[in-house]
Amino acid sequence: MNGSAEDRLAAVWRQEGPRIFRALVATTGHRAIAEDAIGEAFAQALARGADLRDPGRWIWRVAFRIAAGEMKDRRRVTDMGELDLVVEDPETLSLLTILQQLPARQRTVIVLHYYAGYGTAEIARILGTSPTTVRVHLSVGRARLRRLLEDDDD
Amino acid sequence: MTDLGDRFRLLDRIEVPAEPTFRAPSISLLQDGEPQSPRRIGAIALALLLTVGTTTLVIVAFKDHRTSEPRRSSTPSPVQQTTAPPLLGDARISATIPVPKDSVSGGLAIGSDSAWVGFDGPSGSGVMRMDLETNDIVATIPLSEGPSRKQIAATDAAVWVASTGLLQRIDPATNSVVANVKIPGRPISAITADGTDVWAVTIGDAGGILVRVDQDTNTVVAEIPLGPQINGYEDEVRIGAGSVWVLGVTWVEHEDAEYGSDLIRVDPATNAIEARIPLGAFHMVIGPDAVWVRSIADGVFDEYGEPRVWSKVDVLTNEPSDPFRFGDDGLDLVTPEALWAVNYDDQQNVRVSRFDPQTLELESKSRPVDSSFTDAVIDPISGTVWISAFHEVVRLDIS
Repeated sequence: MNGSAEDRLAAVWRQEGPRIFRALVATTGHRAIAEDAIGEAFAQALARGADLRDPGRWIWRVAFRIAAGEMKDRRRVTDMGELDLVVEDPETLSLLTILQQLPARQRTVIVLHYYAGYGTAEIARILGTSPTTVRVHLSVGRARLRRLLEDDDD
Repeated sequence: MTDLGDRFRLLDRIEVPAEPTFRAPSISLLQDGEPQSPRRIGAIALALLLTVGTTTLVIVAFKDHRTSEPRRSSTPSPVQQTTAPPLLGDARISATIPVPKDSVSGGLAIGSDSAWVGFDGPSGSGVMRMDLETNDIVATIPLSEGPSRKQIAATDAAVWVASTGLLQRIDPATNSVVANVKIPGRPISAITADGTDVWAVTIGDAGGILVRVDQDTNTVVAEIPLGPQINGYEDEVRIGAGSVWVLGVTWVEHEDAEYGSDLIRVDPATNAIEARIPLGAFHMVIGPDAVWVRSIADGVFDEYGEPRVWSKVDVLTNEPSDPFRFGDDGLDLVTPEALWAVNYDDQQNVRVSRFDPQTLELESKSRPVDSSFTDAVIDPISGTVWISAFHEVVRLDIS
Protein backbone atom coordinates (compact mmCIF):
# COMPACT_ATOMS: atom_id res chain seq x y z
CA MET A 1 0.00 0.00 0.00
CA ASN A 2 1.35 3.39 -0.86
CA GLY A 3 1.34 6.32 1.48
CA SER A 4 -1.68 8.00 0.02
CA ALA A 5 -3.78 4.91 0.48
CA GLU A 6 -2.69 4.67 4.08
CA ASP A 7 -3.52 8.30 4.58
CA ARG A 8 -6.88 7.72 3.02
CA LEU A 9 -7.64 4.86 5.38
CA ALA A 10 -6.49 6.88 8.34
CA ALA A 11 -8.83 9.63 7.21
CA VAL A 12 -11.64 7.14 6.93
CA TRP A 13 -10.95 6.03 10.45
CA ARG A 14 -11.06 9.58 11.72
CA GLN A 15 -14.18 10.47 9.76
CA GLU A 16 -16.15 7.26 9.93
CA GLY A 17 -14.61 5.13 12.64
CA PRO A 18 -16.57 6.43 15.63
CA ARG A 19 -19.85 6.32 13.74
CA ILE A 20 -19.25 2.82 12.48
CA PHE A 21 -18.18 1.68 15.93
CA ARG A 22 -21.19 3.17 17.66
CA ALA A 23 -23.57 1.78 15.07
CA LEU A 24 -22.02 -1.64 15.56
CA VAL A 25 -22.36 -1.37 19.32
CA ALA A 26 -26.00 -0.34 19.00
CA THR A 27 -26.67 -3.20 16.63
CA THR A 28 -24.88 -5.94 18.49
CA GLY A 29 -25.03 -4.73 22.08
CA HIS A 30 -21.53 -6.13 22.37
CA ARG A 31 -18.53 -3.89 22.55
CA ALA A 32 -16.17 -6.74 21.82
CA ILE A 33 -18.00 -7.76 18.67
CA ALA A 34 -18.01 -4.16 17.50
CA GLU A 35 -14.28 -3.89 18.08
CA ASP A 36 -13.60 -7.12 16.27
CA ALA A 37 -15.82 -6.27 13.33
CA ILE A 38 -14.48 -2.79 12.74
CA GLY A 39 -10.95 -3.99 13.28
CA GLU A 40 -11.30 -6.79 10.82
CA ALA A 41 -12.89 -4.50 8.26
CA PHE A 42 -10.06 -1.98 8.44
CA ALA A 43 -7.50 -4.76 8.28
CA GLN A 44 -9.11 -6.12 5.14
CA ALA A 45 -9.26 -2.66 3.65
CA LEU A 46 -5.58 -2.18 4.32
CA ALA A 47 -4.78 -5.48 2.68
CA ARG A 48 -6.58 -4.32 -0.45
CA GLY A 49 -4.43 -1.27 -0.70
CA ALA A 50 -5.29 1.57 -3.00
CA ASP A 51 -7.78 -0.38 -5.07
CA LEU A 52 -10.80 0.48 -2.97
CA ARG A 53 -12.58 3.27 -4.70
CA ASP A 54 -14.70 4.13 -1.69
CA PRO A 55 -13.08 2.62 1.37
CA GLY A 56 -15.54 4.26 3.74
CA ARG A 57 -18.56 2.58 2.25
CA TRP A 58 -16.64 -0.63 1.83
CA ILE A 59 -15.70 -0.71 5.50
CA TRP A 60 -19.26 -0.03 6.57
CA ARG A 61 -20.40 -2.97 4.53
CA VAL A 62 -17.73 -5.41 5.58
CA ALA A 63 -17.90 -4.49 9.26
CA PHE A 64 -21.65 -4.96 9.39
CA ARG A 65 -21.52 -8.21 7.52
CA ILE A 66 -18.93 -9.52 9.93
CA ALA A 67 -20.92 -8.38 12.94
CA ALA A 68 -24.21 -9.62 11.52
CA GLY A 69 -22.71 -13.00 10.84
CA GLU A 70 -21.41 -13.22 14.35
CA MET A 71 -24.74 -12.25 15.86
CA LYS A 72 -26.90 -14.24 13.53
CA ASP A 73 -24.97 -17.45 13.57
CA ARG A 74 -24.31 -17.50 17.24
CA ARG A 75 -27.80 -16.32 17.94
CA ARG A 76 -26.40 -14.03 20.55
CA VAL A 77 -28.84 -12.47 22.89
CA THR A 78 -27.53 -9.47 24.70
CA ASP A 79 -26.91 -9.73 28.38
CA MET A 80 -28.51 -6.50 29.51
CA GLY A 81 -25.94 -6.16 32.21
CA GLU A 82 -23.26 -6.03 29.60
CA LEU A 83 -24.72 -2.86 28.15
CA ASP A 84 -23.50 -1.04 31.22
CA LEU A 85 -20.04 -1.67 29.89
CA VAL A 86 -20.95 0.04 26.64
CA VAL A 87 -22.25 3.32 27.97
CA GLU A 88 -22.95 4.88 31.35
CA ASP A 89 -25.34 7.59 30.24
CA PRO A 90 -28.81 6.46 31.38
CA GLU A 91 -30.68 7.83 28.35
CA THR A 92 -28.37 6.11 25.94
CA LEU A 93 -28.42 2.95 27.99
CA SER A 94 -32.20 3.00 27.87
CA LEU A 95 -32.18 3.36 24.10
CA LEU A 96 -29.67 0.52 23.73
CA THR A 97 -31.74 -1.68 26.00
CA ILE A 98 -34.87 -1.00 23.99
CA LEU A 99 -33.04 -1.64 20.74
CA GLN A 100 -32.02 -5.05 21.97
CA GLN A 101 -35.69 -5.95 22.19
CA LEU A 102 -35.95 -5.73 18.42
CA PRO A 103 -35.04 -8.67 16.23
CA ALA A 104 -31.49 -8.40 14.94
CA ARG A 105 -32.43 -7.63 11.35
CA GLN A 106 -34.84 -4.90 12.33
CA ARG A 107 -32.38 -3.45 14.80
CA THR A 108 -29.61 -3.35 12.25
CA VAL A 109 -31.76 -1.67 9.64
CA ILE A 110 -33.09 0.84 12.14
CA VAL A 111 -29.61 1.80 13.33
CA LEU A 112 -28.23 2.10 9.83
CA HIS A 113 -31.14 4.29 8.83
CA TYR A 114 -31.70 6.50 11.85
CA TYR A 115 -28.18 6.75 13.16
CA ALA A 116 -25.94 6.21 10.18
CA GLY A 117 -28.31 7.94 7.81
CA TYR A 118 -28.37 5.38 5.06
CA GLY A 119 -31.26 4.88 2.68
CA THR A 120 -32.84 1.56 1.93
CA ALA A 121 -30.78 0.89 -1.18
CA GLU A 122 -27.51 1.52 0.62
CA ILE A 123 -28.61 -0.55 3.60
CA ALA A 124 -29.45 -3.35 1.23
CA ARG A 125 -25.94 -3.21 -0.18
CA ILE A 126 -24.41 -3.16 3.27
CA LEU A 127 -26.41 -6.14 4.45
CA GLY A 128 -26.39 -8.05 1.19
CA THR A 129 -30.13 -8.14 0.88
CA SER A 130 -32.76 -6.41 -1.19
CA PRO A 131 -34.20 -2.93 -0.72
CA THR A 132 -37.61 -4.53 -0.44
CA THR A 133 -36.50 -6.63 2.48
CA VAL A 134 -34.91 -3.60 4.08
CA ARG A 135 -38.11 -1.63 3.74
CA VAL A 136 -40.08 -4.42 5.38
CA HIS A 137 -37.67 -4.60 8.30
CA LEU A 138 -37.59 -0.83 8.55
CA SER A 139 -41.35 -0.52 8.55
CA VAL A 140 -42.03 -3.28 11.06
CA GLY A 141 -39.06 -2.35 13.21
CA ARG A 142 -39.96 1.32 13.28
CA ALA A 143 -43.49 0.55 14.44
CA ARG A 144 -42.28 -1.75 17.15
CA LEU A 145 -39.57 0.68 18.25
CA ARG A 146 -42.07 3.52 18.56
CA ARG A 147 -44.27 1.37 20.77
CA LEU A 148 -41.34 0.40 22.94
CA LEU A 149 -40.17 3.99 23.24
CA GLU A 150 -43.65 5.18 24.12
CA ASP A 151 -43.90 2.55 26.82
CA ASP A 152 -40.54 3.65 28.10
CA ASP A 153 -41.50 7.32 28.05
CA ASP A 154 -44.64 6.52 30.03
CA MET B 1 -42.01 11.39 21.72
CA THR B 2 -39.06 13.01 20.00
CA ASP B 3 -38.18 12.26 16.43
CA LEU B 4 -36.40 8.97 16.01
CA GLY B 5 -33.46 10.69 14.34
CA ASP B 6 -33.03 12.95 17.35
CA ARG B 7 -33.31 10.01 19.69
CA PHE B 8 -30.57 8.16 17.88
CA ARG B 9 -28.15 11.02 18.36
CA LEU B 10 -27.90 9.64 21.89
CA LEU B 11 -25.64 7.01 20.40
CA ASP B 12 -22.97 9.66 19.97
CA ARG B 13 -22.51 9.38 23.71
CA ILE B 14 -21.12 5.89 23.34
CA GLU B 15 -17.48 6.17 24.15
CA VAL B 16 -15.10 5.27 21.40
CA PRO B 17 -11.90 3.88 22.87
CA ALA B 18 -9.24 6.54 23.04
CA GLU B 19 -6.71 4.21 24.55
CA PRO B 20 -5.43 1.03 22.95
CA THR B 21 -8.06 -1.47 23.87
CA PHE B 22 -8.14 -3.76 20.89
CA ARG B 23 -6.18 -6.94 20.95
CA ALA B 24 -2.57 -6.68 19.93
CA PRO B 25 -1.37 -9.14 17.32
CA SER B 26 0.38 -12.09 18.80
CA ILE B 27 4.11 -11.87 18.52
CA SER B 28 4.06 -15.46 17.49
CA LEU B 29 2.41 -14.39 14.28
CA LEU B 30 5.69 -12.87 13.31
CA GLN B 31 7.86 -15.60 14.62
CA ASP B 32 6.26 -18.88 13.73
CA GLY B 33 7.94 -18.99 10.37
CA GLU B 34 4.76 -19.55 8.45
CA PRO B 35 3.65 -17.22 5.68
CA GLN B 36 1.31 -14.56 6.97
CA SER B 37 -2.07 -14.24 5.43
CA PRO B 38 -2.77 -10.86 3.86
CA ARG B 39 -5.30 -10.21 6.58
CA ARG B 40 -2.84 -10.82 9.34
CA ILE B 41 -0.22 -8.75 7.63
CA GLY B 42 -2.84 -6.08 7.15
CA ALA B 43 -3.77 -6.20 10.77
CA ILE B 44 -0.24 -5.77 11.90
CA ALA B 45 0.48 -3.09 9.35
CA LEU B 46 -2.62 -1.17 10.22
CA ALA B 47 -1.72 -1.29 13.86
CA LEU B 48 1.58 0.30 12.98
CA LEU B 49 -0.04 2.80 10.64
CA LEU B 50 -2.46 4.00 13.23
CA THR B 51 0.13 4.08 15.93
CA VAL B 52 2.50 6.32 14.09
CA GLY B 53 -0.02 8.13 11.95
CA THR B 54 -1.81 10.11 14.58
CA THR B 55 -2.00 10.31 18.28
CA THR B 56 -5.76 10.72 18.17
CA LEU B 57 -6.36 7.27 16.82
CA VAL B 58 -6.73 4.20 18.85
CA ILE B 59 -4.33 1.43 18.12
CA VAL B 60 -6.17 -1.16 16.16
CA ALA B 61 -4.85 -4.63 16.15
CA PHE B 62 -7.08 -7.37 15.05
CA LYS B 63 -7.57 -10.88 16.12
CA ASP B 64 -8.69 -13.32 13.51
CA HIS B 65 -12.40 -12.91 13.34
CA ARG B 66 -14.61 -15.70 12.24
CA THR B 67 -18.24 -15.55 11.46
CA SER B 68 -19.38 -18.82 12.90
CA GLU B 69 -21.57 -21.27 11.14
CA PRO B 70 -21.89 -19.70 7.72
CA ARG B 71 -24.67 -20.45 5.38
CA ARG B 72 -24.63 -23.91 4.01
CA SER B 73 -24.05 -24.53 0.38
CA SER B 74 -27.13 -24.43 -1.70
CA THR B 75 -25.95 -27.18 -4.01
CA PRO B 76 -28.06 -30.30 -4.14
CA SER B 77 -27.34 -32.68 -1.36
CA PRO B 78 -24.57 -34.81 -2.75
CA VAL B 79 -25.64 -37.73 -0.68
CA GLN B 80 -27.13 -39.63 -3.53
CA GLN B 81 -26.26 -43.20 -4.23
CA THR B 82 -22.82 -43.00 -5.70
CA THR B 83 -20.13 -45.31 -6.80
CA ALA B 84 -17.51 -43.14 -5.17
CA PRO B 85 -15.43 -44.93 -2.55
CA PRO B 86 -16.28 -44.37 1.10
CA LEU B 87 -14.92 -41.12 2.43
CA LEU B 88 -13.08 -42.13 5.52
CA GLY B 89 -9.84 -40.22 5.24
CA ASP B 90 -8.48 -37.42 7.29
CA ALA B 91 -9.10 -34.02 5.81
CA ARG B 92 -5.88 -32.51 4.53
CA ILE B 93 -5.43 -28.97 3.27
CA SER B 94 -4.19 -29.35 -0.29
CA ALA B 95 -4.57 -25.94 -1.88
CA THR B 96 -5.20 -22.31 -1.04
CA ILE B 97 -6.37 -20.21 -3.96
CA PRO B 98 -6.60 -16.42 -3.59
CA VAL B 99 -9.66 -14.62 -4.87
CA PRO B 100 -9.40 -11.40 -6.91
CA LYS B 101 -7.48 -8.90 -4.89
CA ASP B 102 -10.23 -6.47 -4.14
CA SER B 103 -12.94 -9.00 -3.47
CA VAL B 104 -14.42 -11.25 -0.83
CA SER B 105 -15.40 -14.79 -1.69
CA GLY B 106 -18.95 -15.94 -1.19
CA GLY B 107 -21.12 -18.90 -2.09
CA LEU B 108 -19.68 -22.14 -3.42
CA ALA B 109 -20.97 -24.92 -5.63
CA ILE B 110 -19.47 -27.90 -7.44
CA GLY B 111 -20.38 -28.85 -11.01
CA SER B 112 -18.84 -29.47 -14.43
CA ASP B 113 -15.63 -30.69 -12.82
CA SER B 114 -15.20 -27.26 -11.33
CA ALA B 115 -15.67 -25.32 -8.15
CA TRP B 116 -17.68 -22.14 -8.70
CA VAL B 117 -17.18 -19.38 -6.18
CA GLY B 118 -19.05 -16.12 -6.01
CA PHE B 119 -17.13 -13.00 -5.20
CA ASP B 120 -18.09 -9.48 -4.40
CA GLY B 121 -15.96 -6.39 -4.30
CA PRO B 122 -15.98 -2.68 -4.93
CA SER B 123 -14.77 -3.31 -8.46
CA GLY B 124 -17.60 -5.66 -9.24
CA SER B 125 -19.16 -9.00 -8.56
CA GLY B 126 -18.98 -12.30 -10.32
CA VAL B 127 -18.14 -15.97 -10.19
CA MET B 128 -14.74 -17.64 -10.35
CA ARG B 129 -14.36 -21.07 -11.88
CA MET B 130 -11.66 -23.36 -10.53
CA ASP B 131 -10.60 -26.63 -12.08
CA LEU B 132 -11.02 -29.53 -9.66
CA GLU B 133 -7.92 -31.23 -11.03
CA THR B 134 -5.45 -28.38 -11.13
CA ASN B 135 -7.05 -25.90 -8.73
CA ASP B 136 -6.38 -23.24 -11.36
CA ILE B 137 -8.78 -20.37 -11.84
CA VAL B 138 -9.83 -21.05 -15.40
CA ALA B 139 -12.44 -18.34 -15.77
CA THR B 140 -13.81 -15.29 -14.06
CA ILE B 141 -17.34 -14.40 -15.06
CA PRO B 142 -18.52 -10.88 -14.22
CA LEU B 143 -22.17 -10.52 -13.34
CA SER B 144 -24.40 -7.53 -13.87
CA GLU B 145 -26.09 -8.31 -10.58
CA GLY B 146 -23.95 -9.54 -7.77
CA PRO B 147 -24.73 -12.77 -5.95
CA SER B 148 -27.47 -12.20 -3.43
CA ARG B 149 -27.03 -13.91 -0.12
CA LYS B 150 -24.28 -15.89 -1.82
CA GLN B 151 -26.55 -18.41 -3.41
CA ILE B 152 -25.01 -20.53 -6.16
CA ALA B 153 -26.12 -23.89 -7.52
CA ALA B 154 -24.20 -25.89 -10.10
CA THR B 155 -24.84 -28.91 -12.24
CA ASP B 156 -22.96 -30.23 -15.22
CA ALA B 157 -25.28 -28.28 -17.50
CA ALA B 158 -25.49 -24.94 -15.81
CA VAL B 159 -24.43 -22.74 -12.95
CA TRP B 160 -27.15 -20.63 -11.38
CA VAL B 161 -26.49 -17.53 -9.35
CA ALA B 162 -29.22 -15.81 -7.38
CA SER B 163 -29.38 -12.09 -6.98
CA THR B 164 -32.33 -9.98 -5.97
CA GLY B 165 -35.29 -11.16 -7.98
CA LEU B 166 -33.05 -12.67 -10.60
CA LEU B 167 -31.52 -16.02 -11.42
CA GLN B 168 -28.55 -15.74 -13.75
CA ARG B 169 -27.52 -18.81 -15.71
CA ILE B 170 -23.91 -19.42 -16.63
CA ASP B 171 -23.08 -21.86 -19.39
CA PRO B 172 -20.06 -23.95 -18.32
CA ALA B 173 -19.19 -24.49 -21.97
CA THR B 174 -18.64 -20.81 -22.65
CA ASN B 175 -18.25 -19.39 -19.15
CA SER B 176 -20.77 -16.72 -19.97
CA VAL B 177 -24.18 -15.67 -18.76
CA VAL B 178 -26.71 -17.12 -21.18
CA ALA B 179 -30.01 -16.50 -19.44
CA ASN B 180 -31.65 -14.31 -16.85
CA VAL B 181 -34.79 -15.54 -15.17
CA LYS B 182 -36.63 -12.75 -13.45
CA ILE B 183 -38.59 -13.36 -10.30
CA PRO B 184 -39.88 -9.84 -9.77
CA GLY B 185 -39.67 -8.27 -6.39
CA ARG B 186 -38.78 -11.37 -4.54
CA PRO B 187 -35.55 -11.82 -2.66
CA ILE B 188 -34.22 -15.31 -3.22
CA SER B 189 -33.21 -16.90 0.04
CA ALA B 190 -32.12 -20.34 -1.12
CA ILE B 191 -31.57 -22.21 -4.37
CA THR B 192 -30.66 -25.68 -5.49
CA ALA B 193 -30.59 -27.44 -8.84
CA ASP B 194 -30.49 -30.83 -10.43
CA GLY B 195 -30.20 -31.90 -14.05
CA THR B 196 -33.62 -30.61 -15.02
CA ASP B 197 -34.75 -27.86 -12.69
CA VAL B 198 -33.72 -25.04 -10.44
CA TRP B 199 -35.62 -24.59 -7.20
CA ALA B 200 -35.59 -21.23 -5.45
CA VAL B 201 -37.18 -20.15 -2.19
CA THR B 202 -38.44 -16.59 -2.32
CA ILE B 203 -40.39 -14.19 -0.16
CA GLY B 204 -44.03 -13.65 -1.00
CA ASP B 205 -46.68 -11.50 0.61
CA ALA B 206 -48.23 -14.52 2.31
CA GLY B 207 -45.04 -16.32 3.15
CA GLY B 208 -42.41 -18.28 1.37
CA ILE B 209 -42.78 -19.54 -2.17
CA LEU B 210 -40.88 -22.35 -3.82
CA VAL B 211 -40.26 -21.37 -7.42
CA ARG B 212 -39.39 -24.00 -10.00
CA VAL B 213 -37.47 -23.07 -13.11
CA ASP B 214 -37.21 -25.43 -16.06
CA GLN B 215 -33.61 -25.56 -17.20
CA ASP B 216 -34.58 -26.48 -20.76
CA THR B 217 -36.60 -23.34 -21.28
CA ASN B 218 -35.25 -21.09 -18.51
CA THR B 219 -38.79 -20.26 -17.47
CA VAL B 220 -40.71 -20.39 -14.25
CA VAL B 221 -42.97 -23.44 -14.45
CA ALA B 222 -44.34 -23.59 -10.93
CA GLU B 223 -44.82 -21.42 -7.87
CA ILE B 224 -45.60 -23.43 -4.76
CA PRO B 225 -46.78 -21.49 -1.68
CA LEU B 226 -44.99 -22.71 1.39
CA GLY B 227 -47.18 -20.83 3.81
CA PRO B 228 -46.46 -18.23 6.43
CA GLN B 229 -44.10 -20.60 8.20
CA ILE B 230 -41.40 -19.39 5.84
CA ASN B 231 -40.62 -15.70 5.90
CA GLY B 232 -37.80 -15.71 3.46
CA TYR B 233 -34.40 -15.65 5.05
CA GLU B 234 -32.22 -18.28 6.61
CA ASP B 235 -34.03 -20.69 4.36
CA GLU B 236 -32.68 -23.96 3.05
CA VAL B 237 -33.71 -26.05 0.08
CA ARG B 238 -32.29 -29.45 -0.84
CA ILE B 239 -32.96 -32.20 -3.34
CA GLY B 240 -32.81 -35.79 -2.19
CA ALA B 241 -34.77 -39.04 -1.92
CA GLY B 242 -36.80 -38.06 -4.96
CA SER B 243 -38.14 -34.93 -3.33
CA VAL B 244 -37.40 -31.28 -2.74
CA TRP B 245 -37.05 -30.38 0.93
CA VAL B 246 -37.42 -26.89 2.38
CA LEU B 247 -36.77 -25.33 5.74
CA GLY B 248 -37.13 -21.75 6.79
CA VAL B 249 -37.31 -19.34 9.62
CA THR B 250 -40.65 -18.50 11.16
CA TRP B 251 -40.90 -15.02 12.57
CA VAL B 252 -43.89 -14.76 14.94
CA GLU B 253 -44.73 -11.10 15.11
CA HIS B 254 -46.78 -10.98 18.30
CA GLU B 255 -44.25 -13.03 20.21
CA ASP B 256 -41.15 -11.24 18.95
CA ALA B 257 -39.68 -14.67 18.52
CA GLU B 258 -38.03 -16.64 15.76
CA TYR B 259 -38.93 -20.25 15.27
CA GLY B 260 -37.69 -22.91 12.93
CA SER B 261 -40.22 -24.05 10.37
CA ASP B 262 -41.84 -27.30 9.47
CA LEU B 263 -39.73 -29.53 7.30
CA ILE B 264 -41.63 -29.30 4.01
CA ARG B 265 -41.41 -32.07 1.44
CA VAL B 266 -42.43 -31.32 -2.13
CA ASP B 267 -43.10 -33.91 -4.79
CA PRO B 268 -41.46 -32.72 -8.04
CA ALA B 269 -43.82 -34.90 -10.07
CA THR B 270 -46.85 -32.93 -8.98
CA ASN B 271 -45.35 -29.77 -7.48
CA ALA B 272 -47.47 -30.51 -4.43
CA ILE B 273 -46.48 -30.43 -0.80
CA GLU B 274 -46.67 -34.06 0.23
CA ALA B 275 -45.62 -33.67 3.84
CA ARG B 276 -45.11 -31.09 6.55
CA ILE B 277 -43.12 -32.44 9.42
CA PRO B 278 -43.48 -30.14 12.46
CA LEU B 279 -39.96 -30.03 13.79
CA GLY B 280 -39.27 -26.33 14.13
CA ALA B 281 -35.99 -26.98 12.37
CA PHE B 282 -33.33 -24.53 11.16
CA HIS B 283 -30.86 -26.72 9.34
CA MET B 284 -30.90 -29.96 7.38
CA VAL B 285 -28.73 -32.31 5.42
CA ILE B 286 -30.00 -35.25 3.44
CA GLY B 287 -28.56 -38.69 4.01
CA PRO B 288 -29.15 -41.95 2.19
CA ASP B 289 -32.22 -42.90 4.20
CA ALA B 290 -33.03 -39.94 6.37
CA VAL B 291 -33.06 -36.17 6.49
CA TRP B 292 -31.03 -34.96 9.44
CA VAL B 293 -32.55 -31.81 10.87
CA ARG B 294 -31.37 -29.59 13.66
CA SER B 295 -33.70 -27.63 15.92
CA ILE B 296 -33.52 -25.56 19.05
CA ALA B 297 -34.43 -27.70 22.03
CA ASP B 298 -37.47 -25.58 22.89
CA GLY B 299 -38.12 -24.60 19.29
CA VAL B 300 -37.41 -20.88 19.53
CA PHE B 301 -34.38 -18.64 19.55
CA ASP B 302 -34.96 -16.56 22.63
CA GLU B 303 -31.93 -17.17 24.80
CA TYR B 304 -28.23 -17.21 24.29
CA GLY B 305 -26.58 -20.59 24.08
CA GLU B 306 -29.69 -22.68 23.82
CA PRO B 307 -28.96 -26.33 23.16
CA ARG B 308 -29.74 -27.81 19.78
CA VAL B 309 -31.30 -31.16 19.16
CA TRP B 310 -31.30 -33.34 16.07
CA SER B 311 -33.88 -35.63 14.55
CA LYS B 312 -33.66 -38.02 11.65
CA VAL B 313 -36.69 -38.03 9.39
CA ASP B 314 -37.22 -41.33 7.62
CA VAL B 315 -37.51 -40.59 3.90
CA LEU B 316 -39.89 -43.52 3.42
CA THR B 317 -42.36 -42.71 6.17
CA ASN B 318 -41.65 -39.02 6.93
CA GLU B 319 -41.54 -40.02 10.58
CA PRO B 320 -39.02 -38.15 12.72
CA SER B 321 -36.91 -39.94 15.25
CA ASP B 322 -36.85 -38.96 18.87
CA PRO B 323 -34.64 -35.89 19.27
CA PHE B 324 -31.05 -36.55 20.21
CA ARG B 325 -28.06 -34.42 21.08
CA PHE B 326 -25.21 -34.06 18.62
CA GLY B 327 -23.54 -30.77 19.28
CA ASP B 328 -24.72 -27.36 18.22
CA ASP B 329 -22.97 -27.12 14.87
CA GLY B 330 -24.20 -27.99 11.43
CA LEU B 331 -23.52 -30.96 9.22
CA ASP B 332 -22.49 -30.82 5.59
CA LEU B 333 -22.48 -34.41 4.39
CA VAL B 334 -24.05 -37.62 5.59
CA THR B 335 -22.90 -40.94 4.14
CA PRO B 336 -23.42 -44.45 5.45
CA GLU B 337 -19.84 -44.47 6.65
CA ALA B 338 -19.32 -41.01 8.03
CA LEU B 339 -20.75 -37.64 8.94
CA TRP B 340 -18.75 -34.65 7.71
CA ALA B 341 -18.93 -31.10 8.97
CA VAL B 342 -17.17 -27.82 8.33
CA ASN B 343 -17.38 -25.71 11.44
CA TYR B 344 -15.50 -23.60 13.91
CA ASP B 345 -13.87 -25.28 16.85
CA ASP B 346 -13.72 -23.92 20.38
CA GLN B 347 -10.79 -21.72 19.39
CA GLN B 348 -12.72 -20.32 16.43
CA ASN B 349 -10.55 -22.15 13.93
CA VAL B 350 -12.24 -23.61 10.88
CA ARG B 351 -11.91 -27.36 10.78
CA VAL B 352 -13.30 -30.22 8.76
CA SER B 353 -14.45 -32.98 11.07
CA ARG B 354 -15.54 -36.55 10.57
CA PHE B 355 -17.90 -38.35 12.92
CA ASP B 356 -19.07 -41.90 13.26
CA PRO B 357 -22.69 -41.99 12.08
CA GLN B 358 -23.63 -44.58 14.66
CA THR B 359 -21.90 -43.37 17.78
CA LEU B 360 -21.69 -39.68 16.72
CA GLU B 361 -18.18 -39.67 18.12
CA LEU B 362 -15.55 -37.42 16.56
CA GLU B 363 -13.12 -39.56 14.59
CA SER B 364 -10.98 -37.12 12.69
CA LYS B 365 -10.33 -33.41 12.56
CA SER B 366 -8.36 -31.41 10.01
CA ARG B 367 -5.72 -28.87 10.74
CA PRO B 368 -7.23 -25.44 11.26
CA VAL B 369 -7.92 -23.27 8.27
CA ASP B 370 -6.58 -19.84 9.03
CA SER B 371 -9.54 -17.72 8.06
CA SER B 372 -13.14 -16.99 8.60
CA PHE B 373 -15.40 -18.62 6.05
CA THR B 374 -18.63 -17.82 4.33
CA ASP B 375 -19.54 -21.09 2.68
CA ALA B 376 -18.34 -24.65 2.33
CA VAL B 377 -19.26 -27.61 0.19
CA ILE B 378 -18.16 -31.20 0.32
CA ASP B 379 -18.00 -33.03 -3.01
CA PRO B 380 -18.22 -36.77 -2.46
CA ILE B 381 -17.32 -37.56 -6.04
CA SER B 382 -13.93 -35.88 -6.01
CA GLY B 383 -13.47 -36.44 -2.29
CA THR B 384 -12.78 -32.78 -1.71
CA VAL B 385 -13.94 -30.04 0.60
CA TRP B 386 -14.04 -26.47 -0.67
CA ILE B 387 -14.19 -23.61 1.76
CA SER B 388 -14.90 -20.03 0.82
CA ALA B 389 -12.57 -18.27 3.21
CA PHE B 390 -12.93 -14.56 2.62
CA HIS B 391 -9.76 -13.77 0.69
CA GLU B 392 -9.15 -17.25 -0.58
CA VAL B 393 -10.65 -20.58 -1.36
CA VAL B 394 -9.25 -23.51 0.57
CA ARG B 395 -9.34 -27.06 -0.72
CA LEU B 396 -9.05 -30.11 1.48
CA ASP B 397 -8.88 -33.73 0.35
CA ILE B 398 -10.83 -36.25 2.39
CA SER B 399 -10.62 -39.44 0.36
